[in-house]
Amino acid sequence: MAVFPVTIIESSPQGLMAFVAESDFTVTDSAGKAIASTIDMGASSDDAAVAKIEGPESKEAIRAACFSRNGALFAVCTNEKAILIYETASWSLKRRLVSEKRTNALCFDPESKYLITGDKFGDCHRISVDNSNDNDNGNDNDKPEILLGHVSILCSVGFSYGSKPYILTCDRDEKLRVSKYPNAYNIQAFGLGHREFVTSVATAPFASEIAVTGAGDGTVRLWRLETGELLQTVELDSLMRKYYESGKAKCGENTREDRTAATQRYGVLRVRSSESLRSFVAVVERIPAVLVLPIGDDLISFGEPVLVDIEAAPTDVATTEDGFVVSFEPHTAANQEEAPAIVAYKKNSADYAVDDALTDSLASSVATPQTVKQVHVPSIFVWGNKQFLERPQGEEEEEHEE
Amino acid sequence: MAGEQKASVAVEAQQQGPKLPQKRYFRQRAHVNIFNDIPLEYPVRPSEEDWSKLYPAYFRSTPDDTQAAQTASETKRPISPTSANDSDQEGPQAKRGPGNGSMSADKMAQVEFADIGCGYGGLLVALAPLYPNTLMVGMEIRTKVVGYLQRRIVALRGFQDDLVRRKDAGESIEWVDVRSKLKQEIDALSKPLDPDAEELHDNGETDRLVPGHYENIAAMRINCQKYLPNFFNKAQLSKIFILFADPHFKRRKHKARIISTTMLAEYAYVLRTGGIIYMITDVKDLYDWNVKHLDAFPLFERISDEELENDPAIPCVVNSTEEGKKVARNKGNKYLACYRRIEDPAEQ
Repeated sequence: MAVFPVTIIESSPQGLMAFVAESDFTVTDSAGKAIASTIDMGASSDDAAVAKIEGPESKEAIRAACFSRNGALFAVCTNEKAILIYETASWSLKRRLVSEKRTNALCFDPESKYLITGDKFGDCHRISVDNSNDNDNGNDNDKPEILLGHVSILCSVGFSYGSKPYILTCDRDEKLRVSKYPNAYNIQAFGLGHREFVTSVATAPFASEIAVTGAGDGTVRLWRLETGELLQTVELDSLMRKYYESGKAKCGENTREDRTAATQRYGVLRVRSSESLRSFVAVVERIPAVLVLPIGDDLISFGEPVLVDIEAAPTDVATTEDGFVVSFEPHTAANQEEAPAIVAYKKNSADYAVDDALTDSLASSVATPQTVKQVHVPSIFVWGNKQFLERPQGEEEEEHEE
Repeated sequence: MAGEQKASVAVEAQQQGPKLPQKRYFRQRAHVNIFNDIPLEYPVRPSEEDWSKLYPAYFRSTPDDTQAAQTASETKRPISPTSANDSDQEGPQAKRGPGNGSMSADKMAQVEFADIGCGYGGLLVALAPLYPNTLMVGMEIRTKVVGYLQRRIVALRGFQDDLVRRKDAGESIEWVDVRSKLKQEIDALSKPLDPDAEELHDNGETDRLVPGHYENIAAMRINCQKYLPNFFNKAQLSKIFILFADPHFKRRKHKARIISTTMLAEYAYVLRTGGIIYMITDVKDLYDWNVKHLDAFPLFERISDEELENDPAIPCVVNSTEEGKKVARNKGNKYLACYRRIEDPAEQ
């Protein structure tokens, strides 16, 4: 027997945390106590019942999840094109719909009135949270409204903070696009500089002029939103090479799914902002570390980066009041068979250490569905690599020229 | 017979200079899947593109060359044509950007016109002398077709070089009268033509001098739908041409159409306020689709037919492309619509 690892963690500004594994998710409060779950958990340790959430159909793996800024809403999207929106006060299902194309990325707009989805064909749609008629332009609310499009897979969607809202969309063709909101047809700027698919974008209320992105090119970049100017690039190789050198990070094997697995590389899985740490944090595929990038006093540059060692290769990170929480790829018999590995870290003065209390609490709160065989978390390079790099020699697809 | 042969060989030997490529060796099927990841070269951002490869007369590869090249270029080219038809043509003739010493490095020439899906280059070659100081680029995704056009431009520039040299040497070489040349071409469309002759015909000039000497046009291989912002800065362009585009009839292929809500945002981004999109097609369905999308897009506003009458680019848009000529010979209809990029009404 095996259990699914947690592959997505989302946290709300109010301290709620959601842990996603396959088609299930569990929500805890800031102390790590389970509040609700799609898995039937009965009573938690101190006899308060854990609410049962009506989740997606089983076998419908969740691809992305997000909380709204006001913490009142939570949404997930699945492999089978389902989108579910919940009210966090009661964990009741507020809206369920099926999108036309499979959604890859999600986020709520700053007013928490709309859910924005990004799909694998590059389109970004806007879905009204309420079924009722509060839509400004008199549209048929049940149909998602198209907001903007890329001609490329959309990997991440976000919003800026501040008086002039921008919607940020990142795609597989290396671009960060900054568009006005809600008039997203009006492109403010492009952030051009990444050399591979951009996986994640983060913004922060304490630095409203900038955004931070991570990509498959082994860099984390800092951008000025209004102009798209690249302000700073952090080369992960110089910071993280030591993990390969010491053997803590392992290259994979050259397989048909991932022909570049045997190379040392740095694919950013996620970038988040932390108000309490006044920093951005990032996790990188295979690398057992969390990169903390504090924001400088000028609010447009990073200070000295800090690397926090963690026990194994991560799958996701989310920020908390005191620090951050990391989920891991299965790496011990215990977390392959019994319970997924999740560890919380907090900052004490200059250092980061494991937050034992929170970690233990999470361990008893978060369960993931069981499965027959061990789960392998696919590399982001499998979908991120441009097709032609992966094709073996001689296996040319129908070429566009004859 | 033998004498004639010898003579033609002798002429051939003399004509070792530029030769126009023949389209028949560069034919390629029209349809391309733009969602495919084709190994294309593109810069990370516009400032990193080496424009000197495309416009050697305008961009020097290194600053040291500028001084030497400047003097060389000034003696090489006449500043203006001697013909009296100047008044019809826009602006001073044959003057170049940085090479002329009047522009500093900051005020570098920039591409202003883009022909999306330029094909064999009919539009560019016709427009070049109308706007001799404006840089124009043709973008095309099909390798063979780009190859043809690049060779064609090199050849046309070569012919111009020769003509200038001969003029300086005292020969009487004329400047082309662009207006009457265009009119002749339009008139020729109503006469039947041998398809082979059409194949060989090039609307570029090989016997007369042309304002700009074709130094202001170039072709690149690029997937516009993915990489437009890599090549052009915000509000850089003043004209975008979309002529006889692939209709992509099947519904599932509609997203590949060159005019879509998605792409309009990008065209609006690279086009400056007041800039113009020119769209023409012989496929009525596509025309309706394009107009519907353009009308619905908040940053574009339709230009009236009256206003278009004064636009010198229009006769070229309608008549100068290979596709346009085919349609004319088949007595097909052409549907034209032009839109101006306006300020965002939501921001007023």
